[in-house]
Amino acid sequence: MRMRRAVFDAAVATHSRRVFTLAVYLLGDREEAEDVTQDVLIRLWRKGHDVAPHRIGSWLVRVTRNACIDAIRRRGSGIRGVTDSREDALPKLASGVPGPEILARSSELGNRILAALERLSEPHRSVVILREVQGLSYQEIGEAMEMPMSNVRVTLHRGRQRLREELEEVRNHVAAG
Amino acid sequence: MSLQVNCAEVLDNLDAWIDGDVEGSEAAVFEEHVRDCRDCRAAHRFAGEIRAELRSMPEFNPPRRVLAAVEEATRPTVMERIHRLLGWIVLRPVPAAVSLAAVIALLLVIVPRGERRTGQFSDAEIRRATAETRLALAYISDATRRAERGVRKKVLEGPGLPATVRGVSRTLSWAGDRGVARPRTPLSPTDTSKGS
Repeated sequence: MRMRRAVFDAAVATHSRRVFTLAVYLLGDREEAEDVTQDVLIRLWRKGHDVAPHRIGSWLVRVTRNACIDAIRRRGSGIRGVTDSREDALPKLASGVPGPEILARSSELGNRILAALERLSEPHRSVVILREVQGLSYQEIGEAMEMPMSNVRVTLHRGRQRLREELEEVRNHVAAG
Repeated sequence: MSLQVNCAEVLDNLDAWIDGDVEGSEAAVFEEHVRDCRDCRAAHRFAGEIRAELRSMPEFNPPRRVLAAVEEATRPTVMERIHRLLGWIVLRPVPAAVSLAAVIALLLVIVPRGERRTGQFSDAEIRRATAETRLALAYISDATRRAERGVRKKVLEGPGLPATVRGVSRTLSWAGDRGVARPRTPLSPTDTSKGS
């Protein structure tokens, strides 16, 4: 059984930007992000019939994040053990190189933030991106990450603190040099 | 409540403060502390810069070729169309059976059977067939209208529909249901607000 066409078309029109943006920031590679976006939207068509319409957005974020983690694991499959969980895979296997499109549009501080984001562990990194870059509410993040709102707040707080620490190190390093 | 805060308290609540979750007298105490403490002032400014930078980072639309590939992959095949039609018959047996009955009734009236010709039907038979056909057609019409209302309601209550479209649709459906034009009324401010 498939989704109703009108519901699917509306979901693509509403959420494809969010899906692609999240994939770009998590993967740091535009082509890979395109592949993930295409796969995720087709998966929505095939499996989204039992997702309530008001939960499609959070379902897409969750599936996109998992697809990105899988893509990163495949990218480094020759290096990492197969026992890595998705949560472990993301920070360890991220490219560490933001895409040229992002770099071109970002300021000096922006580039440093992107590099620091790459070093954040999961789920801090995803929560910071979803909240700060994509502007999702705590409730939307909680639904997408399958965690209670209180955990979202704590995770976001720690993610922001960790990001500041990473940037302080960069700033101190630059100042010492 | 103490009117003093130390650096650790300020640094621990920087995000809540920037988010606007620290308010009133507590916010005033924080501001006073930051005015006098150079380190906390620098930390507050740095946190604000990071926040602003993150929020100004671009979002990206997927390229057309990606959406075209999705469109292509999700286009229903001929077999899927047939399955959908069969599924309609299985899932809605009553309308399907009534439709079939209506077709048979029409055939009984229109097509001559064996040696009997149209002119050889009695008036009572013709009246009964006509009444049954009308009843069947009325049932089909009613079932179709109810199904249409259900779909319209789902679409109107679904997310992502602009308030203006919602208002125009409601007006059209109101007029359509009654066969009259509805008096024009301006949309209320709540109607024009952007849906969440």
